Amino acid sequence: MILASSVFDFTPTAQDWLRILPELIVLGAALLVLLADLAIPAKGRGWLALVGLLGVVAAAVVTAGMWISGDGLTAFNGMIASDKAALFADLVILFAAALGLLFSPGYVERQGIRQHGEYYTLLLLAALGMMLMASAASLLIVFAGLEVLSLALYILSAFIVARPRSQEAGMKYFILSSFASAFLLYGMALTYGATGATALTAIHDFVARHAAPTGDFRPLLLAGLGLMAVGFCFKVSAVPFQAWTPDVYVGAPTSITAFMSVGTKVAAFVALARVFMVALGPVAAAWSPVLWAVAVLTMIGGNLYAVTQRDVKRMLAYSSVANAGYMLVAVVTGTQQALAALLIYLAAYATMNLGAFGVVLALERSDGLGTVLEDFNGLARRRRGLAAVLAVCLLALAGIPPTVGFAGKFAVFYAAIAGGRLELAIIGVLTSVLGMFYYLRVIWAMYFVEPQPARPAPAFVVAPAAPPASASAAASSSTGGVAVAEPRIATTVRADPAAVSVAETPHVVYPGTWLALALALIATIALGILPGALVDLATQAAQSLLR
Amino acid sequence: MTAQQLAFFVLAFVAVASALGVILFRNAVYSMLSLIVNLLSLALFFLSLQAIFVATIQVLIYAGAVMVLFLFVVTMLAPEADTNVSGSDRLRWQWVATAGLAVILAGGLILAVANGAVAQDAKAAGPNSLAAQVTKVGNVQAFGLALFHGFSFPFEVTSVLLVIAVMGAVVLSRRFSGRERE
Repeated sequence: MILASSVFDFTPTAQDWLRILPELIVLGAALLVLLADLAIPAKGRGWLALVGLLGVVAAAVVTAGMWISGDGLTAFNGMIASDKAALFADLVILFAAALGLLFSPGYVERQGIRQHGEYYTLLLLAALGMMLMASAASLLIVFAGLEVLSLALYILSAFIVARPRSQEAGMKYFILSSFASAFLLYGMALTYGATGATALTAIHDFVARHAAPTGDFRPLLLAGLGLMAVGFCFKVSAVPFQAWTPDVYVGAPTSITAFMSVGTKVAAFVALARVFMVALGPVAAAWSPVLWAVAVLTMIGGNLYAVTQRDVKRMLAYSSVANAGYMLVAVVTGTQQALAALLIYLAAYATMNLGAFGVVLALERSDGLGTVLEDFNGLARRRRGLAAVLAVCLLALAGIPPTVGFAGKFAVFYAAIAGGRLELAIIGVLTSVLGMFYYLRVIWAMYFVEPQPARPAPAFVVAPAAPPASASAAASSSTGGVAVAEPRIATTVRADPAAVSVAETPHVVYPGTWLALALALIATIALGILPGALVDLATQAAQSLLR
Repeated sequence: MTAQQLAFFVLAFVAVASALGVILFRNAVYSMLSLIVNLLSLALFFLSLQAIFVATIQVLIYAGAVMVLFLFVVTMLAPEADTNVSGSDRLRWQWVATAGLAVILAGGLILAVANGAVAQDAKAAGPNSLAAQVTKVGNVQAFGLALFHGFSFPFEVTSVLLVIAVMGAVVLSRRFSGRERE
């Protein structure tokens, strides 16, 4: 086993710290929020989101600065990269974190979450883990970053203590995801055993020198690849490892779902690209058939599952599975162009998915219901703004020009055809057409279906007795800047049909949510009309990673 | 068969048998005990690879501290000595699928070992190799130097992980009384 000469006497320099400055700022903001939580009185806890937001914006500014003037080298003895691919991923993750923070105060208040400080701290630490994973230049950091983000997200998924579905989501995510992490770690250990290195560049050199020329893939390396593929496919929720996705996405607080559906995908896919497309690129013949099959299964399975869903939140969860399939197409193609397409698709997915989940979040009631398809009937008349945002985001997810969703799909399928994966492009286009059905169905419901006057309570309602109106009014008036004036509707026992009124709740949408929705909407449309800048950035990022 | 090979096979048998015991015993305390046996046999594996420090840590932390914690929790959760897992398996067909996949995996791994899976390059010992460093400064020192120099960054990231774990324990176990909010 040859270790880099400096393993036993490496000392970090100022340069090392400068190269991870965005991560350090996010960590600092997280710890600051945790401390500020003690100092700020309970009323003003909405300000904690602002503290976190300032940290995220500062980190994004620094990231942009590093894009322009950074040296793009690795830091800490080749552990973590600061190349443009890392910075690109950081920016998308920070965008998701910023929108997640903007969505949170109103939603957190409405759902009765009390531990605000821990909530925002964990959200920021999850973002930190995502950034670490996306910047990893060593298998160790891939795993450490993954664990940081996963552990934070397990807790955040279970954050609504009063809602059993949230607890269930946290537990399911924890057990299944830990299991997948074990697969990933085992795969990394075997890969280390086969190649003698954990640094991605050293693994690349080893397989390029030994395995690739002879075509003799050692069984140990193959086993390692297989186990790592299982771990990664679980994290990006690819079929057949998708079973956890709908339950966790539906049960978790929607602000967290919006953030993690994007952030985890970015982190996991960039890490997947680093490990498979770049480091193990020379032995692509060994792993691409496996990921080819997974990509096909994911595109078909994700879309078929999504078609059958009645709950829009659950539909979006399966849509995230389907989108993972399109991203896997880019990974399987494996060219530099495909890597750029993957990054474009990730950025596109971030904007449109955050917007779509943001609208669902704004409509969700305090009992966690109100997201079934019937609830969207005639929404355009009641909530013109929300309906418009959701319509644009769903059109983007369906891949209709001139939205960013079209740019992403076009880039991926074009790269697949150029890279000689015509069959994947064809399957992708066909399943996208299938996908249009369930996206457009929601738009149809919002704009062309009359709302039913009084929908009978769904049989599965297990809503805890809502607090009396006076208590909730007191709660909302005492939240300071947090403008949540939601007249909660007492969902009483089902035996009394007269009292069952589950009509829509005219709760006010918090200004931060509007701001976040506006940002997502502008990004979705602007990047769709003028995708040149995004394509340019993604191409530069891809060039920094895959030559 | 050399003494080392003999030791390996004995240890391997114990490790696999105790690992099976962990998942097959219906009594949780028995599972715990066979997990201890499993961890101890892993420690002996490390010892046979002359990784003295890792073997010591394995015994101290896993077989010692962590398992004591496990046993405490198990016995606390089941004070009436009723630690048996009861009820029938609702997904019996999974046994068949698992067995089939396990055979395939085991076959692949046996093939890997039989083919001499580790390339010679990976084991080559240069002037900067771990082996050279161990002979130069000693086992524990080499480990410590690598941990706090070359691998200091993952080490620091782990500390973030521990912060999150502590916060998770606080968040998920804390219960609010009615009026604590304001």
